[in-house]
Amino acid sequence: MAERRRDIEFTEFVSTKSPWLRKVAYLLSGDWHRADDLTQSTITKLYTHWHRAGGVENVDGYARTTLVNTFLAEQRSPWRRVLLRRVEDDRAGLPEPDLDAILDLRQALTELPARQRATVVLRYYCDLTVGQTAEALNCSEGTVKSQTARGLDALRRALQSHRQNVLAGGLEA
Amino acid sequence: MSTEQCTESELSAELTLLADSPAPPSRVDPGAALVVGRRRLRRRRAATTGATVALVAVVTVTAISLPHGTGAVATPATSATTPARPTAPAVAANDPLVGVAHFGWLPPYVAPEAGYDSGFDHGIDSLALGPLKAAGDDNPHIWLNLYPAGVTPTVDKAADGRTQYAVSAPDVHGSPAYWVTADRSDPTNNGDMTLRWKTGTGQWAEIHGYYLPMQGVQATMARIAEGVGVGNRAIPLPYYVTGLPAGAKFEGISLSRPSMDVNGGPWGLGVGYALDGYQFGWRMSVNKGTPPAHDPGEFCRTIKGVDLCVNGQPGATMPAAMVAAGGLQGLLTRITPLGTDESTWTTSVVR
Repeated sequence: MAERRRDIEFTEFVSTKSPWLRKVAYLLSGDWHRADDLTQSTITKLYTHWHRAGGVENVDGYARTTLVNTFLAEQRSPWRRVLLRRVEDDRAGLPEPDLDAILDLRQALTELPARQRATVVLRYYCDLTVGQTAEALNCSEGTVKSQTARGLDALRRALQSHRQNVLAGGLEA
Repeated sequence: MSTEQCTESELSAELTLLADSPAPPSRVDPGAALVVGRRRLRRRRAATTGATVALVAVVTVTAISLPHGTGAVATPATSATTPARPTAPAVAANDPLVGVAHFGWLPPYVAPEAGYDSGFDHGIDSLALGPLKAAGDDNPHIWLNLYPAGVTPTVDKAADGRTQYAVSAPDVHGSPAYWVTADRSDPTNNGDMTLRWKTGTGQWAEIHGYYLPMQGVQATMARIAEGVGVGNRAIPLPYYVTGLPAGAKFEGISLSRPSMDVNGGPWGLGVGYALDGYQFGWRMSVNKGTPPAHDPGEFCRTIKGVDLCVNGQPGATMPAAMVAAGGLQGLLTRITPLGTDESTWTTSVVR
């Protein structure tokens, strides 16, 4: 019966939380398709470690850490080059509201090194403290602070560069 | 977000906007995670025990003394040893899904047809689900399980470690019944209900319901139990397959209604086999108007409105017999979806 209990608890958790995990995955990967893959990998790992997840107080945090670790591990694999090529395909078929600013941010995020990106997402989307982020990334609080500062600087620079390019394109036209 | 300034609150707001921006339909599939996760656990256990098949373990259980009547409470009694729940019974000649117990009456808020889950280290469970709602909604679940002959269920601790108790319930067809609850004063266990009873065959049956409307829920559960039938019944499936590689061993099958995929659909199917340690299988669901999204190494096609995708064990060596049979792409051509009209589904599945 333990198997079924695990399935029930897991299914309840995933059906509730997978949309949220998918959004975090999207911010990490910059690609909805990749976000689906990341989320799928994450929930599969969660299932196999559910006995552990069920024993922690903050299952959301456990799932989020699993997701981030999965993302970082895949960044180190040869898959990454293949997957990054899919980023530009991702807008196809989507509604076209005025999302330029948001897409600028997405592009700027994807240009950050993976751990900086994870730090920024955990700190400013997931609202984790420096200490919680350090725990999730298995690094020191000092590292989180420096990664955060560098990430914010890089975002500013990238956004400024994108805007200047857009302006230059408009003037040339 | 301003390019000159980038305050933390602005960044948080912009990240939220980005995360909430329009997205393609999700391909996240909790059902597939269950299937793959079970396989991994199975492999892990096999590696631990040195066995590749499910074992009959000896476990310590707590027997209960069951009072007959109402209001009394059964308490944990003695420890004993009993065989753990065995895996699914032998596969029928042509149909890998044979239900051993079946719902009769079901409340109107669940789908009229139940799903099934068989194998993958389980016995056979039947599952009635409420109508599919948006992802994150809590739709009603009612699981039905029949214990093997000779196995008396025990009252174990809950998943969160709480002690549970047997609280007597009205007889079902004149046979003893009881609730399993962590709160002796609340047979419904705060909405996470388990009702067990002894069927006419002498086997114990159990229904586990949650997210059910609570008004009159004890009577609802009792009526569901009264309607349950016991006996093997081959379940029609939406495909047939020819020329499975010789030696392929059936591992499990899951038919959910409605689909437990967050994308929805009236049903979803997952099938697993193994050959010389190599695991492969396929999934099927109703096509949603676009080609099915698939993972790397997975092969899909859509026939008669049904998406079919076959997949193998990433990184594992495919057995020669399977390579000779055309590999996964060959398998894809030998599975014939029968469409969305369930009257055309068949129990002559493996041909």
